[in-house]
Amino acid sequence: MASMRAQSLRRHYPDQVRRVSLRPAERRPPRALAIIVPPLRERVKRCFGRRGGGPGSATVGRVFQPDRELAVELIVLVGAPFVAGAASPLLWRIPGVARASALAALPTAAFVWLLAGGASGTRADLPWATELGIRFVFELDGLSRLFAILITGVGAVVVVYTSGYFGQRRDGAWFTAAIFAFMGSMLGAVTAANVLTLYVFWELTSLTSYALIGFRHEDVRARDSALQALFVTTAGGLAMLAGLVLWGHVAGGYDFDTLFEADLRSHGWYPAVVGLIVAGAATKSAQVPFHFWLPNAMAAPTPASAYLHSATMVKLGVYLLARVAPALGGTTVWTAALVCVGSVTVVAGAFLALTTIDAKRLLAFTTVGALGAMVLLIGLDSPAAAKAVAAFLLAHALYKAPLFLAVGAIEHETGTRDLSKLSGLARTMPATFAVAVLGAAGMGGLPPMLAFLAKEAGLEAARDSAWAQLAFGALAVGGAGFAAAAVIVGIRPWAGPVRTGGTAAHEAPPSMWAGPLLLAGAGAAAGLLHPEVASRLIAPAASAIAGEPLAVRFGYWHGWNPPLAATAAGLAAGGALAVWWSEVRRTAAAVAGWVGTLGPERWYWLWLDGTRRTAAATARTLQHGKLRWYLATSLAAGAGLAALPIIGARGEGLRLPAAEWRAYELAVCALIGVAAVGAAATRDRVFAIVCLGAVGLGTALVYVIFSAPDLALTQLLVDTLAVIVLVLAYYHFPRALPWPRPGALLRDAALATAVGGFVTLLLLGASAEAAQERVSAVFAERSLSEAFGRNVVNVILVDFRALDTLGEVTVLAAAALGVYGLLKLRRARDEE
Amino acid sequence: MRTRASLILRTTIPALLPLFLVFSVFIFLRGHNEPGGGFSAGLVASAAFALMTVAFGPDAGRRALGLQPQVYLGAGILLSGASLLMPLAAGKPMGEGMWTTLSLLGREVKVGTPLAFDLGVLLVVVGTASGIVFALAEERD
Repeated sequence: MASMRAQSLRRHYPDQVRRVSLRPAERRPPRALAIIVPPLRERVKRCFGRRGGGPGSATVGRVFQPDRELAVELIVLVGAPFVAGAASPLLWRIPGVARASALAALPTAAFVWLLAGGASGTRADLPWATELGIRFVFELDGLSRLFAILITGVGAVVVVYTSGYFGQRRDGAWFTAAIFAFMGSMLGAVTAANVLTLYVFWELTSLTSYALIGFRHEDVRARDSALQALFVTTAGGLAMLAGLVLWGHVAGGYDFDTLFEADLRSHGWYPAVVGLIVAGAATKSAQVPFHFWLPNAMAAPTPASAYLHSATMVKLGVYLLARVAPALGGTTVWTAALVCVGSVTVVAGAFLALTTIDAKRLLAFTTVGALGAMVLLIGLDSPAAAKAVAAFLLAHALYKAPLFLAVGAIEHETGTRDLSKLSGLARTMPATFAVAVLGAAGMGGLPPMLAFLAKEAGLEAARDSAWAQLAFGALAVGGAGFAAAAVIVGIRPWAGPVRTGGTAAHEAPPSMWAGPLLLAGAGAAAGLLHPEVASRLIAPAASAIAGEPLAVRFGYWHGWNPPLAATAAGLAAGGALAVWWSEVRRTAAAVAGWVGTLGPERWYWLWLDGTRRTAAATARTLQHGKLRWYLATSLAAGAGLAALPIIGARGEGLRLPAAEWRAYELAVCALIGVAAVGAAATRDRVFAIVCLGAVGLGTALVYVIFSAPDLALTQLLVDTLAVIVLVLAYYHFPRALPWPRPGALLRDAALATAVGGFVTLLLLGASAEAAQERVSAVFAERSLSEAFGRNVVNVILVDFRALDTLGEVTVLAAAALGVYGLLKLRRARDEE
Repeated sequence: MRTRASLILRTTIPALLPLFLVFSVFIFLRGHNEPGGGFSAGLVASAAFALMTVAFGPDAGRRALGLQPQVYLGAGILLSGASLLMPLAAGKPMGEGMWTTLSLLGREVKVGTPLAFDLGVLLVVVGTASGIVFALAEERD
């Protein structure tokens, strides 16, 4: 019997069973265990016994073996949306209803497959940069599965909706492609079982959401909002990466398995790791003070808003916290951080929702509040809270996505989403009205919706926690705000006399209400069928969050208790707020505006403007467009860099070569010196060119004297060509070169002396360095034997150091294009 | 150009051009064992096209070059890059020299990826120098 249970647990909670056994025994207070664990024996068997013959049973015993066959399933799950995205410009050309079906085929299939238990408990391992020990690792445990089901399920509805929303517009193809890419990124992020895998997909969601939020790129506000979302979430992503890497450093590996085995809680870096990871989650999940990007992101087309901000992207922060909770939770630091951030966010989101007349912004603010509630519950760190989080994750997606999509349908048909201009839409858009009512029932937390059960569970968990006053209070206030928002969106625009903001509204096409209705209906059905949903979806996810196998059961009736009182009071307060909405909104908006002057968004803009101004000032200072100054800057910098090692070594090791000077050597040096002075002193163009040529020839002679025929040949050829180029440029020089001002003369002389002097010193230092000789000896020795060439210089250039040479010729080509472009562009400008 | 180039230049350059190019090939090929190589060979060839430009103007220079200088740049970088990547296809580390012996006119000639690499360098040098020379010569007075 006992072994059967262990087997059953291992099958369904491979992760958790292993991780629990590694956790310190004193981790959880015995009281909580006593409440949850005793009934577990029977319930786990009852809940999962039925599924013994299901798809899970095939994976017994090899769940954590990198199995090829299993690996393929998960990799296909993550990779297929990207392929669908690439194919969507083609799919978009399919006419009529068939297009929506074709687009929805993949997410629907994945959804059904996941719901039926496909790939559950599997792991995939893909090599990436094996030398660095970096791999792609994916796992599908209960929590990942719940998220994957939401991503594919809501995703299927969203692509169908997109097909109707964009209609015949061609850019819908690109939008769909971005949606699919985003879907793949999300699936990768929630199944990642390795820090770097997680980070890659985490940032991919930021990038793809940037494309989605900024989709109406001709609108400056859309661009700004997209950039804001990108900046905030990628900054958080970097913080998260730093936190996870610190953790991995302590644990000695970057797979979650390894991370969870390390006892980080007693490590000195624990607070830093928690702080960084919470910062990453807070930016992604729009927690105060990073909440401002989310309402601004409503510049996105509605399908993207519904997808990103109900079921997916913003939940990724919550996912991260839930994922690491078993390993990082259970401390005061953790609980204090999450409960405080979450409480403030719940209240702020609920309050801000009352300040706007824009239906989408209103929904966005309630999303901020809902995310705050989830963060708060994860912070409470109890099995009851884990159960509430898992339930709320599902419930929230099932009511928020339909509400967003209903608002999108209103905007599509009436051209506005200004709530103060809309009423009586129920008569013209009955199907969308049904969606909105069901969604609002979820947001308000009414039975029989799953949201009601989730809210009750959350309030109970808060009541029983050590932080009861703050947590319970925040959730209750949030509940009132959500109820008010539900009435404002779910009833106000639909009741009363018909006002549609100017246009004659009619019902949206079926593709825009059928899917949302299905989702909202699923919210009700999930509530009614809660035993089934609890055991199949919520319990596995809650177990992953709690880090121990949990049995989950909900009930509509828990007796007369504080949660019920809070719900009733919240509904009453919400109703009242909605009735006096106009007055409430004006007051709330005034308060919000006043607070906003000090708010985080202001800091964001100050930072962005400051960065832009600094960049502009830097560019103006450095890119002045004066060639002689560029040259002077480069030379001065070069001389400075050459001076550094010499100054650093205090001139040690510098000595003149001991060799005797021969007469012809001195003659060549004199030639170079005289020619150089002549080139600098003359005001005559031809003489200057001749002098420069003489300097070059003299240098070539030096190379000949010191047995460097390659250099001599190259120097000679370069100089010949340089003289030809100078002759061509000859006509563009001033006829008589003007005398510079005395100050400029002095400056140029000082610069020239400095450059020449430091290069001389550097060469003396370099020739005194013995290491150079060893390298050249190795090259000389191997030139013929390994590269089959007797000319060492050339062999070094084209074989030993070929990569360097490739870099050099690339620079050369770039410089040529630059010169060509400068001359040609000037000509084109002059001709205008 | 404001003035016509000297008669000497205009008479000798057309005759010298093939010589320059043959000399360029010579320097290129001997670079493996003696002073020379792609860079020097490219400079010699460029000097030929530059002198052509001085004598007859940029159009004549361009005609002698055949293709646009940018084409030489791109082709050179591609050739050099490809010659470095080629060993990867044979399972060797990038940039490792691969040699084979061809029989040419009854003589054994060694050919390898470094030769292709050097040819790429030559093309880039020709493209760079000619591009700058033509652009300068086409400047309006």
